Amino acid sequence: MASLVPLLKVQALGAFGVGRLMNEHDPKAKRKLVLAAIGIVLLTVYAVAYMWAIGQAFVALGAEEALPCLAVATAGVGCMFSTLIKANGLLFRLKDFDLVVTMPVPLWTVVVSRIAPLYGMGLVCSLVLGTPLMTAYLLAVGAVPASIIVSSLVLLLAPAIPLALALAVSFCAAWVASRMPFADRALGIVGVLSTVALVVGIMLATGGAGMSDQGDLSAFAALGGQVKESVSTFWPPAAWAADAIGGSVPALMLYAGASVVSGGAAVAVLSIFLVPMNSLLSSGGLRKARDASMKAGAPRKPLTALIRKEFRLWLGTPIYFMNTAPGPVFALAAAIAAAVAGPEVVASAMNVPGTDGDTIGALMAGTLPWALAFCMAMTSLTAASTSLEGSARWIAQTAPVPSSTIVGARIALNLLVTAPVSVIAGAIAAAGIAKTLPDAILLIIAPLAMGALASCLGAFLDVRRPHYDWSSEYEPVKRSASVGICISAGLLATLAGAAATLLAGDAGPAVGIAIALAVLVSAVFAGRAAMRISLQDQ
Amino acid sequence: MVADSVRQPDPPILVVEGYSKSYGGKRVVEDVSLSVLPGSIFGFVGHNGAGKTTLIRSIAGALSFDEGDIRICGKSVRTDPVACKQVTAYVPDSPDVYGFLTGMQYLDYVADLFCVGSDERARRIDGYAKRLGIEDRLGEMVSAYSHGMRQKLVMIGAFLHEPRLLVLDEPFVGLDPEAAYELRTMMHELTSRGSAIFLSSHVLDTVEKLCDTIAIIRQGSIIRLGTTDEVRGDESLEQVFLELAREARNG
Repeated sequence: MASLVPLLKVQALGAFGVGRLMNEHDPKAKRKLVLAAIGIVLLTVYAVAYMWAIGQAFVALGAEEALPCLAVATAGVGCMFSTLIKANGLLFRLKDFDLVVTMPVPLWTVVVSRIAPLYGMGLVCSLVLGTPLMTAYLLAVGAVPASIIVSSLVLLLAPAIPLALALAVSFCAAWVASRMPFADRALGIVGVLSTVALVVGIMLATGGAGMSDQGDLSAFAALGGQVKESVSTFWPPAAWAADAIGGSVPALMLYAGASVVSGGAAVAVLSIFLVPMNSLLSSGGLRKARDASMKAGAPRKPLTALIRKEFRLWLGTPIYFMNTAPGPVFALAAAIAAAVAGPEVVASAMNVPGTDGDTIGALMAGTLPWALAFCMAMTSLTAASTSLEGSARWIAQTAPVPSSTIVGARIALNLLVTAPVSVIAGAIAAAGIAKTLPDAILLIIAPLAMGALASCLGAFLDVRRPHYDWSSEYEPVKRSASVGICISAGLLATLAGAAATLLAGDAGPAVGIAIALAVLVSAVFAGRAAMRISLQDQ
Repeated sequence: MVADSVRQPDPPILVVEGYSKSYGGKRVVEDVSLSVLPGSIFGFVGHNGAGKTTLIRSIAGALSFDEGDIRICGKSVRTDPVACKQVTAYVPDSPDVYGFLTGMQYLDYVADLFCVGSDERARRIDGYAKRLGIEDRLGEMVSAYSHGMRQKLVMIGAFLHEPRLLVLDEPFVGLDPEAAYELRTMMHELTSRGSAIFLSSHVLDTVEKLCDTIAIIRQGSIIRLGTTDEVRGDESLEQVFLELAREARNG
């Protein structure tokens, strides 16, 4: 037991850069870490406020009975997501595996010390996502001490079952990836499709609610029951938790028992099988494509080879692919939906008094180009591509090609993804809703320009300040400043374009085209600046 | 401190003149000068943190530097980096390679960047892969490779374009004895064709046997430079190295 304390301390220091913050002496680096910490706190406050607002909305609609279910399910989804991201590297395929398993400590202490940060992250999800919903519920129904205690216990145990499930899924995914050469690509594609399905599903569900008979309060009250039922079907422990808070002792026993048993089972299984499980993952000798060529390929020009390599990086890094591929898919889906449905159908579906097909058509002509543009603004492969070189950056740095060619190849791949999709999606949308030639041009040029901005600005930001020192691809893809700034700049430019187009009345399309051209020119300047930066370490 | 050899009248392949490098205001390498002749293997030894990898990375074009110049085959790394890289190959101390490629895809990528023709690349990949015992594993993802296999893969990539200058940073770490022997043979074959090798290693015994010129670096400055016989005298390189370290500690 004594060995658990230092192991936990090491994990605590490693979490969220705590150790670095404590030991960093460079004032500049320390300032950066403090700013990042402030950013995280602000995001947390925002998330709590957002969940609180959702809770209050459910209460206002009289649908508060769904809140305990939602609290447990939301915390569970958050915990599953964080565990899936972190389990690889923390428990499976860990770099310090040999060091860890040869330490003179019982293996269960190693497992517990590694599961503890995962459970900690689950608790943060519980606290940030679940507590505001649960508090809104308790205040609405009138909290008594017993229900407060049970609610606290429910939120405390909420990460246990999702964590155990996510560990199992994570191991299976790692095992498949270790056995199949292109499993990473399959994982990325499945991830993109799931993201698209989730967003479309939410939109359809929201649309369905919006189309219900407005003003019918009984329908809203029934909504609470429906949500509870849906969530319970999807995640039964949420229903047990809700019943437990409602006073059911058997439900409480079931929920607490299942949570404790699943958490304990995860620790027990990993304590016994951690070594064989990791041995299974590292025996990657089978990870060979049956058709993978063992012969040298035909020569290609360096630029072509660089673009092919960037393409393989994109497809072969699931988190990178999942973060950047949905944009083009959304753009195509939105364009097809708009073209197929047309303004009349949209107007009828929205059922807004005083609007007809023409009004909606004008609104769509002004906003759809910028909606497509935003999809492209989200698609910045270049904002992480330099950082993703990581410790293998010596290959690019010592390659006999100018830095401009290497950065140019990254920009080229990004444009090869965004430009054709922009043209196709814009043309499809134009066929469906454009009334004039400028409308049609704007539908194509707005996404094209924003795709160029995402490609060139992303490259500039990431080449200028690359983040090579990462332990997981998640860091440069999801947590880097270049990605955040690039998408924010794209969002601002999109909003500015949409606002100007809508406010300019009849001159809207012309103004929109002018803004898109300005964005395009800015992208060219950013791209040229990116290609002038050396890839050498300083 | 330029190591000249009367045996070789050819101009040096690598010339380092007055090289200095600082990190955040702290000078880590100070006024280093050396040259490497065609057909020779130059050993570069020093304690951890002495500045070996810093200089090596600058020669390979991966790291900028503050003062002095590095010339490869007469071209300056500062002003003509691409021409220098075209005739250079670099093997880092840690063979980190793209895990999302197969071994063969990586070698094809390197061959494309160095514009190696179809026949040569097929022949060289096949030959070197067989010699290093990795020919059956080139279809596997690099992420499944062990450290030694990655080292072999990087080594094949380095020999693919017949470099005029081969820069090796701890090349024997992780290699099995058979592969280490093959590597030594491959190095001799390369130098016999007129190329030069700049080798950094902590394995002093290997450096002593392989290299004809040796430089010892300590705290960023070269403290001994000459032919292997000149540097070691009647002692072993290890004894010389330890004596120099002791002298430096005692001021």
